[in-house]
Amino acid sequence: MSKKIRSNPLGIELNRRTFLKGAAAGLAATVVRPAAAGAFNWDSFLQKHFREMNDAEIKKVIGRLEKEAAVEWKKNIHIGTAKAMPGVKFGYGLDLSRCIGCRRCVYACVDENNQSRTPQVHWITVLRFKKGEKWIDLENSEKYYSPKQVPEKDFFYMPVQCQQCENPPCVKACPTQATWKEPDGIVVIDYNWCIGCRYCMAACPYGARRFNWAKPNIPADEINPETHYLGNRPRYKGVVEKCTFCIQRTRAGKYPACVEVCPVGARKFGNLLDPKSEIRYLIENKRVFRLKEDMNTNPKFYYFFATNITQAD
Amino acid sequence: MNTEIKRRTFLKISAAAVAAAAVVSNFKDAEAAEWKKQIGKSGSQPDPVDEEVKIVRSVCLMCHGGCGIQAKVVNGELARLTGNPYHPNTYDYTAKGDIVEESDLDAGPAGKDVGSLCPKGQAGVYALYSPFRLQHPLKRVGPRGSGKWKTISWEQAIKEICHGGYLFKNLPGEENRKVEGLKSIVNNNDPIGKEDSDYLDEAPPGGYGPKRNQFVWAHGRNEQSPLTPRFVNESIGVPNMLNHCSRCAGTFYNVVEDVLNLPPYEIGAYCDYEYCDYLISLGSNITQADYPMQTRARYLQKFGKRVGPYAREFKHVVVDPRFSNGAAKATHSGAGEWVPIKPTTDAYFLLGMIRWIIENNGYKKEYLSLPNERAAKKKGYRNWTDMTYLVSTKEPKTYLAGKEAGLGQSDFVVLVNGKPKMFQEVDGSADLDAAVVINGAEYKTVFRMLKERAQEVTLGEGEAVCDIPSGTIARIAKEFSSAKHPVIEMFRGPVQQTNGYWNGQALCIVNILVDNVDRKGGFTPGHAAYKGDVKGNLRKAGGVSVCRHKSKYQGKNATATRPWYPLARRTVTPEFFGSVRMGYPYKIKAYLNYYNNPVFTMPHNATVIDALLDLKAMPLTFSIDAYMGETSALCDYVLPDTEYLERLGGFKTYPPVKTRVWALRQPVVGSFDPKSHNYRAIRPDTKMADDMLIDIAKECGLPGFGKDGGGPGININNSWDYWNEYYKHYDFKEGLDPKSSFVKLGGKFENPAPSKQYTNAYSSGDYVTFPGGRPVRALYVYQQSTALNKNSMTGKYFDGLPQYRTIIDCKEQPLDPAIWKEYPFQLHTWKDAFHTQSRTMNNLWLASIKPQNYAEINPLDAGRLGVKTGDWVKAKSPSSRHIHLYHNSMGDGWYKFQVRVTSRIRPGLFSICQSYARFGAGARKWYANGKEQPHDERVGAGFHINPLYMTDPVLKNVIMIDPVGGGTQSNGTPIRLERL
Amino acid sequence: MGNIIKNFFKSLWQITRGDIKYYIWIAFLFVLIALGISAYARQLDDGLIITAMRDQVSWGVYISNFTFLVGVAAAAVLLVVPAYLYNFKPIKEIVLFGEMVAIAAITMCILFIMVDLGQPLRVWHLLPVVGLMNFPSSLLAWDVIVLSGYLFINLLLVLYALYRLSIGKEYKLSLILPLILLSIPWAVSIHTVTAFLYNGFPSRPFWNASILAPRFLASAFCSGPAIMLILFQIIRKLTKIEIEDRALFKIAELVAYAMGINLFLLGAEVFKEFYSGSIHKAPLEYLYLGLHGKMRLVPWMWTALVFNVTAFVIFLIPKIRENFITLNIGAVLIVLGVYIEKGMGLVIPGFVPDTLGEIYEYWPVRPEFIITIGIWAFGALLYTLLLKFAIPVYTGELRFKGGEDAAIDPAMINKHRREKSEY
Ligand SMILES: Nc1nc2c(c(=O)[nH]1)N[C@H]1C(S)=C(S)[C@@H](COP(=O)(O)OP(=O)(O)OC[C@H]3O[C@@H](n4cnc5c(=O)[nH]c(N)nc54)[C@H](O)[C@@H]3O)O[C@H]1N2
Ligand SMILES: Nc1nc2c(c(=O)[nH]1)N[C@H]1C(S)=C(S)[C@@H](COP(=O)(O)OP(=O)(O)OC[C@H]3O[C@@H](n4cnc5c(=O)[nH]c(N)nc54)[C@H](O)[C@@H]3O)O[C@H]1N2
Ligand code: SF4
Ligand code: SF4
Ligand code: SF4
Ligand code: SF4
Ligand code: SF4
Ligand SMILES: [Mo]
Repeated sequence: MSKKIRSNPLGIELNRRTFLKGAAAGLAATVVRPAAAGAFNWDSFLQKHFREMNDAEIKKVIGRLEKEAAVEWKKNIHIGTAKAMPGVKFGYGLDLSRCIGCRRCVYACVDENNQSRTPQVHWITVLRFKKGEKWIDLENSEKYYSPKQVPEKDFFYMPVQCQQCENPPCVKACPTQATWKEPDGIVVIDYNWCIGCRYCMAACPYGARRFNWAKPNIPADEINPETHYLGNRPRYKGVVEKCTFCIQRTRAGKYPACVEVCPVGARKFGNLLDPKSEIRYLIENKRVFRLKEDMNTNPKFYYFFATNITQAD
Repeated sequence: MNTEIKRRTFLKISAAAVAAAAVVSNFKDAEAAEWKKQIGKSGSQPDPVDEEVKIVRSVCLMCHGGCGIQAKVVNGELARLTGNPYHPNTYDYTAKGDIVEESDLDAGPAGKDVGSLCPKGQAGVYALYSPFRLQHPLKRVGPRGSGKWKTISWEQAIKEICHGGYLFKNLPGEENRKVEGLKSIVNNNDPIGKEDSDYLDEAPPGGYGPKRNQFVWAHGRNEQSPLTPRFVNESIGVPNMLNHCSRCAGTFYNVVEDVLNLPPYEIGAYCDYEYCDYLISLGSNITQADYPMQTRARYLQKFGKRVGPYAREFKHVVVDPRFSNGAAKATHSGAGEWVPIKPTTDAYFLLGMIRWIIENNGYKKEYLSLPNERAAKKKGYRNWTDMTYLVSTKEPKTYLAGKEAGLGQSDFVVLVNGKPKMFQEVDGSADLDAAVVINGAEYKTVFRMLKERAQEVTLGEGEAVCDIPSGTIARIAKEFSSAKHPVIEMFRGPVQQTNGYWNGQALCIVNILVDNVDRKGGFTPGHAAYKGDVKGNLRKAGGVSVCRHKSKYQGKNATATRPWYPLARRTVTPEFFGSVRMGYPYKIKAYLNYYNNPVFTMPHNATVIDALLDLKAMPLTFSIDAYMGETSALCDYVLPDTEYLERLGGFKTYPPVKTRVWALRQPVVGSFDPKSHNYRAIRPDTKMADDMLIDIAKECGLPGFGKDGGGPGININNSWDYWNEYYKHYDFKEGLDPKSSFVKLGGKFENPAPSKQYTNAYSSGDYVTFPGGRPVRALYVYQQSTALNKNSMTGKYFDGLPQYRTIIDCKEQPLDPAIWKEYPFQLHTWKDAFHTQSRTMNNLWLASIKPQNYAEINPLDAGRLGVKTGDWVKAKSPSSRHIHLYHNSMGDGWYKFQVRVTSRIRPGLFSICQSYARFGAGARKWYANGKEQPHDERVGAGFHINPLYMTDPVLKNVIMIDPVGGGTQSNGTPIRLERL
Repeated sequence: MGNIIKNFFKSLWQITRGDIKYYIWIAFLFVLIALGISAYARQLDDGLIITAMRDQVSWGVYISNFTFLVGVAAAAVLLVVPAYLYNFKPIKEIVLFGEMVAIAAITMCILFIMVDLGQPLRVWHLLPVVGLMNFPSSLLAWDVIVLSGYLFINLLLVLYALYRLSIGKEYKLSLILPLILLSIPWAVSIHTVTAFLYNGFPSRPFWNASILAPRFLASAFCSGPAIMLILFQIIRKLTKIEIEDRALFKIAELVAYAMGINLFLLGAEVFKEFYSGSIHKAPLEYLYLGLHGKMRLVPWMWTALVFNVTAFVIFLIPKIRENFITLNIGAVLIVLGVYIEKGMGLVIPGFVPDTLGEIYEYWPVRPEFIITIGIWAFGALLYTLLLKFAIPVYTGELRFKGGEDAAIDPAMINKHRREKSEY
């Protein structure tokens, strides 16, 4: 069973020289250097929590952040702040009988949402299960499968991303209120308020949250400049991030990137408050289930089998 | 939840958020010009295109529903297929009542009714890049069916096929076999003679036609029409353009065209789902199959249950031996029911309904009494029927002509207050339920004859035959005839039977009785699509086709050796395979298999296999295929076609869509040479079938292609030349100009405003307008042409009215009851929503949805047999025999199957859905140049039922066929089951 | 005011004086701290990527040490209870040193949290009023409050006691009794809240067991006192402070009970998981048997178990626990055992397998070790300095002239001592 588990990652041990250099530097000046790569900046240090700012303050902050981002990423980045639409609560559906495990959603998400390329940050994890084995036995799922071709015989796949819990443990956990649930149901993070304690990661039952262990690395020409403050604007080192239902797209009336890209159409999206939406239709008419219902997180992410894949009726 | 907002409002909000400028405009009653402007407007800055991303709109061909697709091509690679938002199959203007701006086209979060595609449609990406696709022309290097091939060049392939010779001299047994090439076959205009036929006695006076008729073309699908018929009927000039219709639903079209008096190829009649409030689906697998599958599923869902004007009173009755998804949805909603009819008994059900409706005055008397256009017009009806016309009670049972009634004309005669009158002279209504004796002969109105026919069997008996609870027929007939907008529609279930034509006729009559034909919310036939044309100096096909469709038997003997099908408007392909080995009616020389897989899809496919393996009967066979299909595998040459995503052409849509449509099929990848417009495919050694046919035509010197092929100065050297020309005439102008809205939007789509779809010009109610026009017309309950023709096997006249029968052989005799003792189960088949015919198991995206099928049986039968789900049984039919190609063949006519026990199948059935258990197309090993070719055992998973179809007891070697419509007995034939 | 400044310099002067061993010790600690700081500087620069933590196991050795140290800090109360409530004099004498351990431990806790943060400069966001503390919803917010409160209480107690001593007076029990009484539940609370920090999430079945908090306390009542057993012997040896054997034995006895409870609770947990055999047993399996061939922590856990059981036996039997060799062996075993069990042994299996079933084998890498050692060195330094200041005060060698009565009467000290022995 050695196949599935990565060993302690290599390349993170210090080599002796850098270590000594670091030690010397540390000895010479036992002062803590500012955290960000950019110079320390009182405005950003003192920036208020997003929800505590008024519109004027937000505007000012966005102005500053856009400037900072332009310098940092060598590209003009627009940071939107579109608010939740009234009467909308987003929901997601995923047809497990159709997913072929191609991971196109994963990479579309990376592209759309400015995830770090090295180290790789993925907001979606596609799990592979062996057919006929214990169903949703996560422990026997495989995350690092790499076949020549998908779908593979005798396997099926289950993509997992933030389930946008109605009752999100991550929000409960966060000591600083840096993460919260928006009125349209999207759980968001203020990347300028998060202290990087990772308590939310411990709390999330779905492994949805990612931490920027290093400064995100995105080639300038691959940056998506259309961003949202609470969504895909490039993140900082040392803060958490996760799927936001593509807040920058969905609040503009578009589908999430992963819905758009899924070649087999396994992914569905819509407004849970609209009784005529496709998402409501499938919740009402398909056999849906949600992951780890026993946690009472009340996810807004519905898995279903549009078609029988088993012998059962 | 008072936070709910309407979807529309929501869309608006989101649209406003996208760009303040993009206001969702209400489209409800836009005039044509405005519609054009709208399209023009969004079409002028159409797509989120940059160097990397390209949007190409084309037509799906994962099934034959003709949905519009929108291909997203990133860096030259097809990334994703979604629905074309301009195509009415995939974007439902009618329901939405508004048109979206381009900027909204990746849909609002509120719901995906913009550009929907079914799973198959989306999986087209896989088809394009499939590892199983053929890459080069192939020539067999072993006996037919050996699976051993070598790749050859296109030049060699075309040369050998066209010029023949000792093509297989290296193969044992074929050293001295000289094969005649196409060129000499198709240019031989001498009449077919003794040397070609042992059955000249049975030929009509004009003979069987020229010797070039010894070329046979067979297609499953003909999506390259009108280029393909041009090649076969007009360039080569033969009637042998065999199609899939006899195993599909050709009878449905046939009967609808006859009864509803429609021009051919306007593809049937369906329910107008939006306004229907009582729908009976008789053997129509709505939501899983039929045309266009996903559009109708969406319509049913929307209009029937969710947003239609009759959403509340809507009732859906599914009369089907199987609890289909449609039935599941109907019963699940609480406003529907499932009537688990026994297969092959539809006539009893339908005539039972007719009887009840007639006896209980459930029919529209005023309407049915109208004898002509004038009378109809006066009363505000758009059509009228032949119900009042007099018909002779003696054979041949023709309509009484004016002449015979002493009225001096040859037209129909009616009775007005008991007095014969020429039908066109009547101003008001004529006698409906009447009879008269003229010159000692008795004549009855069609209505009277129908009534008497219906009264031949009582309702209780009908229910016993159909094996449904007694009282069901009466209750449904009552509900049906008292509903506001009732429709009964059908598909393969009732028509793919030996009694199929009569079943279909009865169904049309049920609709006519309640006056719903052409009506808003009624039974609405198709309409003309846009069309173009390519001129040219062309041949005319003549003589008798190899399957004798549309040909009257006029031989010297009273009866024929094998059946003739004068009434079948489409070909009777299984009969071709059944008679080719005996050289009936004449021997053939070359067979071109195009997009066709009869070896797999034909009921009782053993006959097809025998024929294709017979070098004498079929001396030269070649196939145009994209994969090593089962049929191609048995041919001499296989020519690799491009997939549909690399093709030019076009497709219309089906009646449930009430606007006029012609969608353009165009390559979404690959490229045209800027000068010659030759197409270069992504697999460079594959070719569009069009190009192959044009190359063959040029090599053989056939008219209609090549230099001046489209008329003086118009050269047709490749597919592009043809379609560019085609799209310049009639309804089209621009050709393939890439800047035209036609190319950009992927077709020509009519203004979908509701005012364009319905007319209230008739005082009796709203009718469908029939885009493209349709004359007001008579509907023919009685089929005189049927009654005028004889069954060639018995010399007896056919019946012009529907009759009560289950399964009959070619002599119209019922099956020997003794057979049922030995073979007590009935064969049954159907289609899965995520597969198409034999085409999709090698699309692993689709195969992975449900990796295998099972033989399905009812728990009752499982109990009797002592089996449970997962157990194995063996099955045989009176005709099944060993086919070496099947892994589950036990060698002596028995085949073994794994069962799934489910109450979704009525008792007594042995049911297997189509598409699984392929043995070609990459399911098994095969070799080219000695090298193993891509294959995957998943393609072959599951079970297939076609070897188990029972053959005609008289003819022995061919599936039982409807003597009128030419359709096969696709369900209900006897089978024996044993536990393994 | 002048006095205070004077006294401050006096204490400063006091702590800078010592023998060569003292200087070597201090220098040694400084080197370790400097190394720690330089590693931390690099961590700030490159990010936590230089640690072995990843999304699967997002807390590592830092939080493990934090957890262990909260236990140590809380254990101070173990000394307080008998000292003040039951007036067990021998222990009362040394409570002060215990409370100083708590101060050092809490300080280290805070440092361990700080080095674990991705954005340490934003730590103020955690604070009430200036920041946006998520109270009462977040258990981490609770932890901030209880830990800082505990630090505050202990500082107050220690400073007050030392102050009184430094001016040569007994502290007034009546004055600090409420504070002492408060400190008892407070000590329990820091531990309970820390336990709840893990306990509250069904996402992590290993932590989501109600037995967690009791186990926390039980093990804390082993490790904290055990550390003190050792420290007190060192103090006794190196300084003039006399600590009675009886006190040490009493502590050892208490440790035995605590360890007994700890082992019992562990057994209960093991039974429940393995007998019920649900998928939730995976982390425990990982710890003690290995999961899917992954057994990084297994030898450590068994070592811890063997250590704990041995120590339990040693401490349970009066004869053995009253032998200093075995007593010290036992104490060391307990410290190590609990360090493993309540450190990595508690934190890591919360993440293994992770919520999606992945097994990522965490093992700290060099920068983490160095930073950890740096913080421990800092804790040791802090404690040394506190001692360096407190002991002379305690022994009366250091006296401030404060208030109206600045004189020190050596006799008083002796009297004090006498009383002690008379008891
Ligand atoms: N048991 C059972 N039998 C049935 C049915 C059933 O429901 N049950 N259904 C019946 C019906 S309704 C029908 S219409 C028939 C269908 O019968 P067919 O028309 O024979 O079936 P298809 O699967 O469409 O066959 C098309 C063949 O074309 C080849 N092909 C695929 N793509 C391309 C391409 O791009 N170019 C070319 N040139 N060839 C291609 C494939 O190899 C495939 O084998 O089957 C009938 N048979
Ligand atoms: N998903 C999908 N869609 C398709 C196709 C496909 O292959 N896959 N193919 C297309 C083609 S070519 C065609 S022809 C159509 C076919 O479309 P349909 O005819 O609607 O579909 P089928 O599944 O062939 O069978 C029709 C229904 O008839 C029922 N039936 C069987 N025997 C009887 C009987 O004796 N009486 C009655 N009343 N019902 C009976 C079956 O249980 C089944 O539910 O679908 C088209 N659409
Ligand atoms: S893109 Fe679609 S099919 Fe591919 S892994 Fe994601 S959800 Fe599955
Ligand atoms: S899935 Fe995890 S990150 Fe997403 S809302 Fe739920 S708990 Fe929070
Ligand atoms: S990592 Fe950030 S978002 Fe998560 S709990 Fe800590 S402060 Fe909150
Ligand atoms: S919804 Fe958007 S953010 Fe979430 S996984 Fe999909 S692409 Fe990524
Ligand atoms: S119904 Fe047929 S034509 Fe329409 S999308 Fe599906 S496969 Fe394509
Ligand atoms: Mo068909």
